[in-house]
Amino acid sequence: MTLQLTIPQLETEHLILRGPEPADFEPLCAFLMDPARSWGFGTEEDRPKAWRWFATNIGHWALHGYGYFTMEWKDTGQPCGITGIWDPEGWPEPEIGWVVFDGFEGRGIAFEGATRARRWAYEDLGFTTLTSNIVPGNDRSVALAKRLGAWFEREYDNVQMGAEQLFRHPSPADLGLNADSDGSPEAYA
Amino acid sequence: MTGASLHIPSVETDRLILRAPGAADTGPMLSFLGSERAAFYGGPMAPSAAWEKFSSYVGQWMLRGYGLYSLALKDTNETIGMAGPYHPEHFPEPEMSWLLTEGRFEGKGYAREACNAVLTHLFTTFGWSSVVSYIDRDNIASRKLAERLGAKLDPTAQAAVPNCECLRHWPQRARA
Repeated sequence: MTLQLTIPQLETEHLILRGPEPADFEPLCAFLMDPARSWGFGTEEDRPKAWRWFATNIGHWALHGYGYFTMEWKDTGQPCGITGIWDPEGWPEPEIGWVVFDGFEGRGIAFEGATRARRWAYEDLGFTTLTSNIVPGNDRSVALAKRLGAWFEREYDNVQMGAEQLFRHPSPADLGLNADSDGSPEAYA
Repeated sequence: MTGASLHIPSVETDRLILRAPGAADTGPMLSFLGSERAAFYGGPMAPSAAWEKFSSYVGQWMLRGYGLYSLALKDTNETIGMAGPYHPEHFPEPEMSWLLTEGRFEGKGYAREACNAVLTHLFTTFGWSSVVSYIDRDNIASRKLAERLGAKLDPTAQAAVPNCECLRHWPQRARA
């Protein structure tokens, strides 16, 4: 029996999106344990809980075939955030999420990474729609969702986060992402 | 395109197959963790919390290279539990752990059969010199099984879980 993770490595102008590696834990842990940064994502109260989230994400990849990528800043190779597709038990439907680590803000990382992860989910995984769940008051995330072309659809109660706003992303067709007949993806606009 | 894959050879016993945990075990593990049977596993817990916990067991394999196997009955391929070394961030060492998902699987020696196979694997294939089990003072059944497996109270080890004692398993010449 083989426990398999198939995690592609994706590239954008400034970023590499790759599978999580053990060394990603420290910067992720710093983010998860900092309520000022992670309140909209889900703050973990201690290292053991942060490590468990890290392990859960890897399990998510193994169980679902997708999860959160680590985003690496190309120039330096440093982990600068995470983005990916998330659909644990109890979620209304798969969502695309993003997080930027301390010191990497203001570079457009979340937009660049989330755009690439969304394209991957549409072109390579065959998703036909995606959502983003945003805690009310997380204005920066709402602004990014809108910049990604997503619109507010409804409020609902998330099993972990409580009241959340569900944003709906443009479909693959809306984004002109239908695969060519030869299977190769369209050029990305 | 890169990917990670971890080959986990299945371990066979008379009646069981111990295999890498996967999506097929999600249902049984969610019902176990949602039940009173999971009292010594942080349960009972809601399905979302249970899924996160189970998923972290799967992820632990990738991070540590070892973890809990799922136990399937050879005859029916049914998942009946999990067994193997549990090693979250804050444990000083891996902890041999086991569970049966439903009461109807108890009293048949399945847990003992699985644990013996896992322990043999840890001591021979992995070359571990010993492995601890943290056993809740109120978990009489687990204490009994640990002792039947040959584990001895280890007063020098510190349990990383509240209200638990450390029992330590050692290699034996022949594991029954």
